[in-house]
Amino acid sequence: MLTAGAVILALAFAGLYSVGVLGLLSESWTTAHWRYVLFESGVWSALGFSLALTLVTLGLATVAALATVLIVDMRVRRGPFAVLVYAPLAVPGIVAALLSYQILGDAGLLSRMAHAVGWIRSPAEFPALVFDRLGVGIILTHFAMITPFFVILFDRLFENERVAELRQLAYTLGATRMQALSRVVLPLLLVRALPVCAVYGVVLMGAFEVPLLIGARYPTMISVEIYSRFASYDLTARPQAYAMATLYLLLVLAAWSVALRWRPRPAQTPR
Amino acid sequence: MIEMPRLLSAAALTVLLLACSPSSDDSTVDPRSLDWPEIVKAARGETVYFVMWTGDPAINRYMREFVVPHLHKRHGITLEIVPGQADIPSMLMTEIEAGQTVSSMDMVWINGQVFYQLRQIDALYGPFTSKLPNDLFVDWDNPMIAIDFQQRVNGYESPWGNVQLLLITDTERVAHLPRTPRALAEWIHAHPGRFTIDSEFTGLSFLKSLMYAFADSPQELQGSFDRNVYNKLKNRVFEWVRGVRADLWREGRTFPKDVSQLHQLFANGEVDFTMSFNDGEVDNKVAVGLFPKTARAYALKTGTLQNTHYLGIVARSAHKPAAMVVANFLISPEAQLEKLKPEVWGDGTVLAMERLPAPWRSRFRNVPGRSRAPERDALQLFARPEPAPQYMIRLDEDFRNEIVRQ
Repeated sequence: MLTAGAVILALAFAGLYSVGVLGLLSESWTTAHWRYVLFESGVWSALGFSLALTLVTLGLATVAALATVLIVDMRVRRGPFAVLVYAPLAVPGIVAALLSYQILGDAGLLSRMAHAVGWIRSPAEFPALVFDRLGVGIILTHFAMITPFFVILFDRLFENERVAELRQLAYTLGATRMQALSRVVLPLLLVRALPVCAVYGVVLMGAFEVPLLIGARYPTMISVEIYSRFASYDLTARPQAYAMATLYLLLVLAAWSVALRWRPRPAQTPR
Repeated sequence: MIEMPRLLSAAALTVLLLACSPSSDDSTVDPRSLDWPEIVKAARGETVYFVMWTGDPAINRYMREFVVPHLHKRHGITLEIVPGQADIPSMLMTEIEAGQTVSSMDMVWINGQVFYQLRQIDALYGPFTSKLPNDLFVDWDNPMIAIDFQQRVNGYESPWGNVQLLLITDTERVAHLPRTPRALAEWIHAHPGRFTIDSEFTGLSFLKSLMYAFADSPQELQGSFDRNVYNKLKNRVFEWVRGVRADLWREGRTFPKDVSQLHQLFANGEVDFTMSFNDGEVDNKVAVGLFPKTARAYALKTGTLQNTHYLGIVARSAHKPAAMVVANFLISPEAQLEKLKPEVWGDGTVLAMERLPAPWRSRFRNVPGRSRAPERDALQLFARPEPAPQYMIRLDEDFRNEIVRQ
């Protein structure tokens, strides 16, 4: 109730600010800021870019985590190897971004290694992995940050859903390795993991530090776009930041309510 | 259970009440009604929260090792440095909108268009500068000090340093310095990927310097904002940028976020030029080992911007007497001389030499000269005043829309 109240309060404040009802420099009620945001600003490209980066990161993390859980033996997964895999979970976003810059940047570790072995002649020849328009640096950083969590998630699901036993049962009933994987293992794990993936998706969509520190000036992720409007030289542009924030929040809430209503189709019981 | 529409109305009402709550300053006595000894006495034991850009280790060291101990020892004032700068107007605006009667900050470092913004939201205390004893030494006759972005200072901010925008290059890598926009464009074409500008304050200031280069007369950029002049010059500048864009760093597809990142690229050898809105910075950066010893700073013959950065006291500050004592110390000959030393900060003084007592005058003249930037007198020929703040505000928006996003 408290959380919902805070969200409603924030939404009301942002909404009123965006139409000029509130705000130190607002003169009167206006839809000008909304018209600017909807039709002239970069909000849609920022939303599209955020969504694309989120989906790619989630996809890569899911594949990597599933591969780890299905390929690496459980005793190894939970042994000393685990410390290495799970270490990135303890790294804050701002530190992860700086580490990425040190590793992936033009004059970073990878570039220097490539130069040392003679693959490139100068740092400029190293492919742009940070401050790049495709968001490769952002994707790789978020991938490194969230994959350990996904490994833990699938590892627990693998055990709780008794996937190993069910896979064995499928083999006994004559399923091939591919059939057991695609019809038993993956559906079980993915359907159960979906709500958590959705939550992580929302978190990634709204990520701030990493895209701010190693993202290109354009395109930008939505949170950076909102912030740049908020901290603009033009103080009268602040209502545009609130309009963007309101729009983003409404879209996330709408997507969230659709996701909450969605239920996986129950498995058909054999007759 | 509360119905949703009622909850929404309650929330909106709360917001409105918050936004409309009184915002007047409730701090006690206005220090302007006190004598200076009374102000100094009232300041003792106070803590001043000073919001300033903390992106340069040399400046931070000057504050930490020179200013903070002196203030504490002489006046019993604790100076707390809070990081921030371009976002100061935004932060103060939020405080005012929230109805906060006492600000979390007391003093602010004002640079660029910030003075215009702070006056726009009436967030500055003043006029106060004539109360400061050391104000007598300030070179108020210099229009580049008395006028900030075409707006008269009128005692609402105390000048702290005067600087000029310069290009910095490595003479080992660039033998013949390109001194005009045309020569620079030719150099960029001949050396693809070795030049760029940042997309914030310093880069935009460079573009404003190009506006002077492409203006029919420097007078066009004086006075209040003129939309027609802006559009004409912006188009000429952007035409220059588009002309060289394909040969900029990363083919001009992206730009460094700020000048610190550009410095980093220059120091790493990824580009051959950086720039600074502090003509003394090159010596400092060489002294700390960031730039190569062969680095040199120079101005374009077509002119570069010169401006002054200032200290302001927040209207809702609860420690105005202490903030005034801090401002007075920072424009003292002693603090200005220390700041001028290239190995300390290399920041130009705002004091008029002819107003200083003779011993101080000679000390200022005997500061070891900078070796990698032209002397200030020589630079004055190429100095151009800041145009009205709207030029920066519009250029920021248009650069983002017409260049960065294309």
